Amino acid sequence: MPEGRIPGTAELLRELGDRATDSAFERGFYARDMADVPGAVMGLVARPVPDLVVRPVSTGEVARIVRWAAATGTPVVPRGGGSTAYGNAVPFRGGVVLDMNGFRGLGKVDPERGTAWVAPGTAWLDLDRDLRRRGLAVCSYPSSAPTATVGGWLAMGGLGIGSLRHGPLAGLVEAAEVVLADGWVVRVTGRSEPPLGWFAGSEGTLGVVTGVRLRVRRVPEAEGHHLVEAPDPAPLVALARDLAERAGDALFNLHLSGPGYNRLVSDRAAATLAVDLEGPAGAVSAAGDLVRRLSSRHGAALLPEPAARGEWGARFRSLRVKRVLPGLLGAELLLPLGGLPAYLERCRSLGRRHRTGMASYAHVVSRDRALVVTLYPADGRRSARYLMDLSLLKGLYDAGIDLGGAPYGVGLWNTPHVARARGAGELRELRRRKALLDPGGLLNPGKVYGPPLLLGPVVFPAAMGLLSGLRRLAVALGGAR
Amino acid sequence: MACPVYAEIGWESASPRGRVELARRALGGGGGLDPASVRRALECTLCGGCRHACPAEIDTRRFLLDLRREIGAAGRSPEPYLALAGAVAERGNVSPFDNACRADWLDEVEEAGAAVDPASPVGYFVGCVASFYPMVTGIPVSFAGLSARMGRPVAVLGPRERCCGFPLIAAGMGARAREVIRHNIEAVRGSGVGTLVTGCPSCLHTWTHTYPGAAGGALGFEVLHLTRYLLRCMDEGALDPAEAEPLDAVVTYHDPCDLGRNLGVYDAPREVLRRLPGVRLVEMAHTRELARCCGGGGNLQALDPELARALAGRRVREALDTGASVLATACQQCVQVLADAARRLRARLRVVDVVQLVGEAFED
Repeated sequence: MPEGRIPGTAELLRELGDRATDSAFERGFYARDMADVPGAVMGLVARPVPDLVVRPVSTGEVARIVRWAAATGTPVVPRGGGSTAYGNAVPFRGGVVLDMNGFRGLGKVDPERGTAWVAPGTAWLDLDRDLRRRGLAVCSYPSSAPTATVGGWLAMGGLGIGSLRHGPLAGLVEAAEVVLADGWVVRVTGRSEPPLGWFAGSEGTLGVVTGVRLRVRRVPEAEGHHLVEAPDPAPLVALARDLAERAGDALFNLHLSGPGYNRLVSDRAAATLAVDLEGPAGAVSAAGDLVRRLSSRHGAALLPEPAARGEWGARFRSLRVKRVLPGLLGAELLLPLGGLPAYLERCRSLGRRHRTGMASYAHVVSRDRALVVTLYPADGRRSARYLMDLSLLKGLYDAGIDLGGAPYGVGLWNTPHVARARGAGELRELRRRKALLDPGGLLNPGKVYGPPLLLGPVVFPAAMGLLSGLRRLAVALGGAR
Repeated sequence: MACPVYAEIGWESASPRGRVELARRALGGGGGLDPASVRRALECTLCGGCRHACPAEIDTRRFLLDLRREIGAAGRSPEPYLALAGAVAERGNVSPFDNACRADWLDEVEEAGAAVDPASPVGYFVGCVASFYPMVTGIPVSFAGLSARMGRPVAVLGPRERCCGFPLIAAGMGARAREVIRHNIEAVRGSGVGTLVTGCPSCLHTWTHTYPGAAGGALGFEVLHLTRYLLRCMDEGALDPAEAEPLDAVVTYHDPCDLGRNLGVYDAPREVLRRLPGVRLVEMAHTRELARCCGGGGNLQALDPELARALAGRRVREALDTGASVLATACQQCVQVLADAARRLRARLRVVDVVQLVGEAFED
């Protein structure tokens, strides 16, 4: 790629050797994440193919690359597992992708203090396995733990399995090493300036995390897994709230699956609530008794233990619905727990109106909030129909935001909802931080803070309305999917 | 990291997701059969690690084989694959040697007469690697010695045995494998055995999953891995660990991909090892479903010997981390590549098949 090369590229390629490439073949693979967005659609909004991809393995290398990027005005896009679907780790206008997956491993572990230094490209499941060999474990992890990295999940906000017990990831990180937009390396904590909290959920737009001191826990003495079923999600949501209030420290995870989702992955047509307990044997046993009592009180049926173990065993396989669908589109929202039944009902209505199935599941991440994912069929091989299917996402996000929710993760594709979900005050503060730490706007541009023109407040709603109408016509003429 | 090749190469194109993208392009009619794409698609040992890890539970191994077939159908098979196909077509095996030499390893068996009986109800499918490659002919020799000791001779096809066909299937040339598959079925059926044993997991996997379809249904005999057969013999008293010499060794076991992840056999080899006196079994960090591939599968060794060696080196280092002095496995190809890696690393680690350890324990 000599013609039009960014100055200094040749030096970087030489320095990093086989950990840097500008080959067209390789760069193309970094133009996508988990979403199946057709190239034609992506190309309307962004220039997703990076100019260069590098695989740093040290903080020094990251700093060197970021300094070069700052000097040449090159966007920098950090990429971990690439396990989201909102374009978080996909370039908006080319630049250099920092593939952090080689920058992995467990550093100093302090069992007494309950902390461990972890490199940002370490996958959560690998980390947990390494820790368990020492009698320790992570406190929480995403449902994409086999692929998602420590740095990536911190950048996304860090809510998932175990958050109900241990809180969001930001609260479990004692310190982080971060490379700022000018190449400076800083160590941030809850009390530093800027504080660690700024970087959690910033999606790589304020700095590149190169190390994390994470709080870890002892491997729990016991586990208990229960699965409860009801025809409708409402009693299960009530049960979840009851358990969150009363089950105490043994309650590790609550996971709700809607009837639509269960129909796709099992022979169950009902909603289910998985209740996962961890801790001292006595506490787990007592909490298990509570689960049985409260399930009965809420009119929910306790399923046999093998079903519960199977559900726990499948916690990383929520996307197995992909096997029965050509492809998927999905919305991921943080929602007040109380609003979950109404949201699920609105999803069902939306699906009926547009003659498509909606499948939802939710992690309960605190006593009053759930992280809910709603999926529906979409075929990325058919660009025109895929575009029309995108219109349903607006309906899902509108439903969630109306009920007090917000998109979990913004990236590129959720930027149209940011203004409404975050509110003017919060958005102003976020933009202030961005201007302060990255005045050149080079760190993961095009994400988080506001939409590009085609996804903006004028074009986006009009376009989605048009596409929605076209979709209805297509369905009327050609049948539902 | 579920994919050993991705762990080694590091680029997204070499990841399971990258290979899915390559398959999507090639199988979806969107091109994707340029040399770089073909190369990347074939840099894979078919270990099944990605299938085990896939959050969508996609049978990635199956579509990777489909992709290889597509590459072959488009005439884009690399030279090493064509050479493999040529060897099987010409000689009935993947080695450079004439198939008439297939049973030459019997010359090393002290009591060949007591070890081999064409009328035995148990047949032994040796496999090309153990038949022809000196580094691992010790495996069938050990098994033959044990068979003689147990008074349970086995029927050996010798030159009538052909390649099981898996190297051709893995090369995307499944159609060409049909001839050897049909031949082997007829040869084994003709021998009248009720049980066919093999020490090669790839042969076993092919006999288990591909041969019944080619045979039009049931084969008419059971097919077992050697370790399962030996365990059965131990349970029946034909091989009594009380009569074995203590080996005094710390042993770690490598799960061959085709035996472990792809066939679900994890316990039999370990149980055989545990029953040997003087063996202390220690586990590597990645075992059973999570075992890392040695690099020997999927024709990778033919396509990219250096990459295959790198994978083997990683696994040897993992074995060394256990403190074991012996790395045992239940696959002749794994033994070959891991022994080679241990030698290159100058590692104080003996690489051996489980059958060979059993043979040593019961050596008079």
